[in-house]
Amino acid sequence: MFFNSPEFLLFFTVVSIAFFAMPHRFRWIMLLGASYFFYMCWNVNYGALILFTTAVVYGAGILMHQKPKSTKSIILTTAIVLCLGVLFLFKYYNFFARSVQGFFDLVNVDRKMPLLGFLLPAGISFYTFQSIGYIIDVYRGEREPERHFGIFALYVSFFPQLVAGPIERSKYLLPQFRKKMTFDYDRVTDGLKLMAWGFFKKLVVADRLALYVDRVHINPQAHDGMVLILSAIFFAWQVYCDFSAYSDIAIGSAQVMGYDLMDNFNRPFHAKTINEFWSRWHISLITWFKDYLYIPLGGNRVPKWRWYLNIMIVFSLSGLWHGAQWTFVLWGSMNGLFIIISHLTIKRRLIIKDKIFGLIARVPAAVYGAAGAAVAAAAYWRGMQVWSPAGVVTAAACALLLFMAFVKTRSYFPKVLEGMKGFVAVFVTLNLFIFGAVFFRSQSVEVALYILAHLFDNLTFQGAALGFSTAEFVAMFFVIIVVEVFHAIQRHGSIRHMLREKPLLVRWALYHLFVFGILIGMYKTMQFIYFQF
Amino acid sequence: MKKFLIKSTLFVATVFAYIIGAVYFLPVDQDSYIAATKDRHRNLEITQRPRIILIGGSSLAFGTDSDMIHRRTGQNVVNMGYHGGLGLQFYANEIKPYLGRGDTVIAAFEYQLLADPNVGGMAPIVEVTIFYPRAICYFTPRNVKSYFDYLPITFQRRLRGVFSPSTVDEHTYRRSKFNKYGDYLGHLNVAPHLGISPQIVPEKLTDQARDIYVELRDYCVEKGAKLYIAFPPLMVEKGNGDKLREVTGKLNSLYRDMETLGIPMIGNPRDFVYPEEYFYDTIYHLNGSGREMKTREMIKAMKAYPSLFTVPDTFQGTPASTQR
Repeated sequence: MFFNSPEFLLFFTVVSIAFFAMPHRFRWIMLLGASYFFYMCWNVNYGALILFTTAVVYGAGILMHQKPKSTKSIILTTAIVLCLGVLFLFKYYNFFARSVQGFFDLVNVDRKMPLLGFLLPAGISFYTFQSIGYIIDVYRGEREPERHFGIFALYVSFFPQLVAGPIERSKYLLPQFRKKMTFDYDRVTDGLKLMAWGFFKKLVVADRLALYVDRVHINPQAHDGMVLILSAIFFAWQVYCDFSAYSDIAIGSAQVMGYDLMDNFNRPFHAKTINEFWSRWHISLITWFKDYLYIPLGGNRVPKWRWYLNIMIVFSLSGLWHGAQWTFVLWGSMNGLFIIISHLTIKRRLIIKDKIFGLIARVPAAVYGAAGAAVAAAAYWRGMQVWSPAGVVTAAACALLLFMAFVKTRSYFPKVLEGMKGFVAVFVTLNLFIFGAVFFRSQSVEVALYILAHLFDNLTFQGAALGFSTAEFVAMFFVIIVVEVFHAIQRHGSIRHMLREKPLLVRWALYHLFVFGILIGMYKTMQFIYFQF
Repeated sequence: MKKFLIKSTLFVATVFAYIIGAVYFLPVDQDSYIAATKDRHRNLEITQRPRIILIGGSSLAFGTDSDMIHRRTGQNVVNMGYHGGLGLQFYANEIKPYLGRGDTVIAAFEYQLLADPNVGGMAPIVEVTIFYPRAICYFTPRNVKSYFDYLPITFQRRLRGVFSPSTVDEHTYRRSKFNKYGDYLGHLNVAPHLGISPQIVPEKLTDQARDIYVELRDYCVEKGAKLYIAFPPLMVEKGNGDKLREVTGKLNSLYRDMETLGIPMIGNPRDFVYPEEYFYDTIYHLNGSGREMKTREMIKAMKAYPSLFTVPDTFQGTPASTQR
């Protein structure tokens, strides 16, 4: 049962009504039953797996209580090994076996590694990490072990965040299951609005962009540079809208019932540094790694080489968490490397940036004007086509120079300059992500390297639409702009709260317009990308 | 909570109203391909027994010469096959109210449909109700699920159709190009424009497909009708020996699996594998010569069941009929 299916809407409606109709003391039973039903809709056998992880971690938590540190360590290690063992068996064993086989083949060892035929259980990485987080919290004494097995099982399997997060912390979520939730009109409607926003991002944006990206990745070798560039850009928004949509629907549906889940995304494409990006993207996973791996490894309070090693370990493992493929490991490692390079070069970059923008500020308006006119004249003289990659770049450069000539003498010029600094920082950060995401999407490292090596081959707009009609192709850019416009508005506060202050008629008109937009813009939907993790 | 329930019900009802309004009350093109469903049900109502009812997807419409079958077997023919998007469940269910003693049902489902666990259909399951609202009577829960899955997409298409109507050319499938049996003739004198998509051949039936066959078999027995399995055409590019071997292997495996259904089978799927020169626009749609060859092969295979023939075996075959 996917979030974007009519079955889920029906399931969620029934569960929510039952939740509020039921006395508080029975709610956990209903939610637990609903969560297991939700999970076992994929495969009945999945229920046994999650029950195993739940029982192991629950039992370990109880056993660990008030025991000496050495005993606690043994229990903790056993519980983690068992949980990760299940994860390894179902998710990583075949990857491991194939990698070892590759090594054997390389050194001419005649030995065949057996492969397992298990199906990857949906969301196994999410609930395993959430469970491990709990047991470490108990080990550290940051929380008492949960003694109510039913409540604990609900914490592991709570259906809104079961298969694709956010990966919750026991300290925040577990106590909420004991709290008596009452019906709160504003909270319920806020939750529904957040879900609607999630549906928009998934159905209208992610699934639409996926059509283009999937078409390219069937055979990337058959496409020119422009198509490869566009598919890399579209994939960045596809994966963001897909995953953040899931998080929004999860957070929104939990909110309807009164539960608060942690934010998982915070407009990551507006980040100005790669560090900032990773504090805005998949927040629940990154903070999990920070709390349970990076800090225990020493974080940044160690010699520099160890610090950098810690960063590489965390990001490589976060890549591996996403999938049992070298492409994911490389993607993670690459992001770790970007962060290290960012640290290493920060002073130099700041000096260079100040110098460049200082120079920009000193150039007289007349020079900008003359340069803009010269670029336009040269382009015209050379008969440059506007609708060619070179034409677009030239037109943009010309527009920028003329814009600078216009604003240079205005009082708000310093603000424009600050805006430009921010824009450049966002642009660079975003492009680093897009670059790395090529590995995330590609079937193999070879394909990713091929794409990166051919990004600038034969740059032409001809055939860039890949057979999509002009309207469909333009719609792909349009939906990205819509998302970014919403994000720009969100900088000034929650859109949901802004809506609340509008008159009823205006609100309803906007709600209908939004739902109409989803209905008219959606495609027959696809599975959420993060379900496979 | 009461306030919320009233408001949310009102909101959902309004949204539902404009979806239903757009889907069912915007002007429709009565000559659209899917509108032919009305004619097919009328054929089922008025065609006398003994009769052969062909069920399946569009490969039946494009690749069957029902007139040839009629002349050869002496049985009346109703060709119900016309759109793969309606799904196996709908094909099986829509004929059930019309079945009786003296009916022979020949089910020739496309291999792709036998591989797809979604037997409830796709967008056409909604579209068919626009032209033939009674189709809802044949819906099972699987069809209802598909109906709601595809309702928004149909809403989009209907709006798009109003603002930018699609152009009609010689390749456009039209209701008026079916003959009295339900065979599609619009492609017979038109130059082929073959688009090749991946050929999906399962080695085994899905559980859902198996259930549908068994359910239909039992229903036919109950009503005194007979059910046979026939096979759709399958395209394998000429000279592609590896592909042919792969496909033949899969077909043999599928055939063995289908034998366990206990339903008599007309021929062997291997007999209906043809090269691209016999296809029109898709890997399922035969052109004129393909249609004639496929029908002849099928009639030849039907000879294994003499009860299917009510006239003496003197037939030598005639060119494909273009009778309207």
